[in-house]
Amino acid sequence: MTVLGSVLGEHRVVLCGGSGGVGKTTTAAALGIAAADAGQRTLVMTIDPARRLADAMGLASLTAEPQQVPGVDRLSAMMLDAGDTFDGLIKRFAKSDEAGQSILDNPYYQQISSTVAGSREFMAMEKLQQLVGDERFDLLIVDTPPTQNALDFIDSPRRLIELLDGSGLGLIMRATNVANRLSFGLLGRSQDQFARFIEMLTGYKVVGDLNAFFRSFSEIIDTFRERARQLQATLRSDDTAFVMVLRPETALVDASERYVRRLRDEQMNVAAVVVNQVLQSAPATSPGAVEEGASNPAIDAGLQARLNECVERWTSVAEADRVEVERAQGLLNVPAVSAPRLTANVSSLSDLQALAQALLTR
Amino acid sequence: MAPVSGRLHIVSGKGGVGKTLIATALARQFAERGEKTLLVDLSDAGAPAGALGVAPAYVPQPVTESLHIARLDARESVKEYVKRKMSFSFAYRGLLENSAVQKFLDALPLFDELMALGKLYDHVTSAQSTYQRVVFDAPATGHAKLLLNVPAVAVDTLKAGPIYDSAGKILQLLRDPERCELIVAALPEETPVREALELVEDARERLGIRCERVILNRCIESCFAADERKVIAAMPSSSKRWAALLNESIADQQAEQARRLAAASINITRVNECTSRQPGVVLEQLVRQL
Repeated sequence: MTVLGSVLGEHRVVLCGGSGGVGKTTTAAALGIAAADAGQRTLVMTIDPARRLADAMGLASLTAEPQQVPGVDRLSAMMLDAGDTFDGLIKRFAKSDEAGQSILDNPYYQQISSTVAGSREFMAMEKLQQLVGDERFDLLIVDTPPTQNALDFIDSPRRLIELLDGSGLGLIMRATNVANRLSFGLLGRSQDQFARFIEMLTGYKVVGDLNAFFRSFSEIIDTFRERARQLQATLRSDDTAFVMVLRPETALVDASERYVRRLRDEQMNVAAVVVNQVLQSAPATSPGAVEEGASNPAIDAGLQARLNECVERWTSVAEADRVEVERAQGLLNVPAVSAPRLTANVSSLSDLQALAQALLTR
Repeated sequence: MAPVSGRLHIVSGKGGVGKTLIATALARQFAERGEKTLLVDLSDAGAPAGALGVAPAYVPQPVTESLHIARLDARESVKEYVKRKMSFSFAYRGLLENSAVQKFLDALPLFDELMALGKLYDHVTSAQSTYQRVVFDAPATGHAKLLLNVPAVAVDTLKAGPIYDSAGKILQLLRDPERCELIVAALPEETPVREALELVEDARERLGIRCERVILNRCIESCFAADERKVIAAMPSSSKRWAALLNESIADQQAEQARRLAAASINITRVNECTSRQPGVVLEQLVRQL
C-alpha cells in the first residue's frame, strides 16, 4: 500500500492543508478520484475552486449540495462556502426570529460580522460537521480554507466563542453591578471610569450597544459552544488525517513546518505531505543519440548557447526542488509524496486522473 | 514646520507570490533614489523574510540612512494612543493594564486593525514623521481586503467618537490617489492572476484605492523562435531538448496569463524568475528589475 493509499483507506475525513497557491484544491480532487477508484464512496468538499476545476470534473458549477461527478463512479463534489453567511448561522441558532433580528441589527454585531477573520472558516467547518454523519459517504476529502493564517479554521471556533462570549465585557458588567449594589463612592467612580475609558477609546456606548448585544447573544452562546466542541472533536479524531500540501520552495517548507507543529500541538494527526510541482531531472539521453552540436547544421552557436543556458537553469531548478522535498520530509517527519511539475493547467478529468495516478503510485 | 505628507505604497497579492520580497525591493529602490523610506509589515506576518538583515520592531529601525523598517503592533499602538489621548489623567493609564479591559479590547477585532492602520497613518503623515515613502507589506489578498475596508466600516457604523475620527483620516489617506496606491503582486499562473484581478477590481470599485500596477514575479521568458522550436522538437531526447521544451511550454503558459491581466488595463512590471532561492540574491535581482 502506498503512503496516500493508506491515508485514504484508513480515515473518514482527510483535510488538505497548506498555504494558498500550492495546489490544495487540485490535490483534493485528485485524491478524491483515487479513493473513488479504490471503491470508497467519496465526497470532495472544496472552497471557491477555479472555474477550470469544476470544468475538469465535468460539472457546470459546484453547488452547496453534493453532486455526482460524471464519469467517476462513487465520487461526488461540492462547494463548502456557497455564500452562506454568518447572518445565516445567527438566524439558525437564535431561539426566535426576533432574537435573531435584534442581534443582526446591533451595530457592534455588524462590525464583527463584516470584519472578523474566521467566520468564513467557521462556516466551512460547520458544513463539514454536518456531513461527517452522512451515511452516503465513506470518505470526506476537504480542501481547507485559504487564509493568511492557515490555521484559522482550527482557531476560528474558539476565537468566535471568545469574541461572542464577551468575557471582557462580562467582567466589566460584573464590576458595574457590584459598584451599583454597594453604591460606594470609590467603586462608583471606578465603574464610571471603566465606562468612560472604553467610550473614549472606542466610541461605543458601553451600557447601550454592547450590553444589548451580549444580552441577546448570551441566549445562543451555548449552541455555538457545543458546535465548536464537536468541531474540535472531529478534527482530533483518529478517523481524521491531515495531508500537508506544498510546493518545493524554501519559504513554503518553513511555513509548513510551523503549520504542522501547530497541528500537532492541537493533537491533530498529520499523515503525509504532498509536494506539488516538483521538477523531475532531465531524462537520460537517448541511446545512440549524439549530443546535438556541431553535427547539426540547424543549430548555430547562438542557439547552442541558449540551449546550454536552458539546461543549466532547469537542471538547477530540478536540483533545488529535490533538496526542498528532502528538507520537507525531514522537517515534517512524515512521508513525502512528490507530484511532477505540470507544464499545462489541470483542465480535464484525464489530467486529474493522471495526477491521481502519480500521487498514488509513490 | 508643516507636517510632511509622505506617500503610501501598499503591496498585497496572493500568498506565496513573493509579496514580502517585492515590498522590500520597492523600499530599497526608493531609498537608493535618495528618498527617506520606511518599510512596514504587520506583527502577525510570520517569519520576516530577513533579506535586509535587520529585524523589524515597533519603533523604526535603520537599515541604511534612508531606509528604515518597522512593524505594526496593535497592542503597542493602543498604549501609545492612550498616552496621547489621555495624558491629562493618570487614572486612565492603569486601566489599560486591567485584564478585563485587555480582554474587552481583544474582543474588538476592528479596534486592533484600526489601531494598526492608525500607526501606519502616523508613519505616512504626522508632525514627527519624516518619511517620503512608506511601503506597507500588507497581508495576502483576502485578509488585505478585510483590513483595508475596516476604516470604511468604522466610519459607517460608529457615526462619532475618537475612533470614528481616526478612521475617517485613514480613509481619506487611502482614497487619495496622490498619496496612496495599492500595488498587486502576482505570479503568471491562473489562480494568482485571478486573485490579482479580483483585488484590482475590489480596490477600484469598493475600497476606492488607486490600483494600477501589477508586479508579475518569476516570469520565464521564451528563448526560442518558432523555427528554432521546430528544430528542437525534432532533436532526439537529451537534456537540451528537455530543458528547451520545458522552458517554452512554461513561457507560453505564462504569456497566456499575462494577457488576461493586460486586458484589464493594468500596468504590468515583469520580473524574471531567479534560479537562486536565497532571499538576499532574489532581492538583489528584484531591485535591479523593478
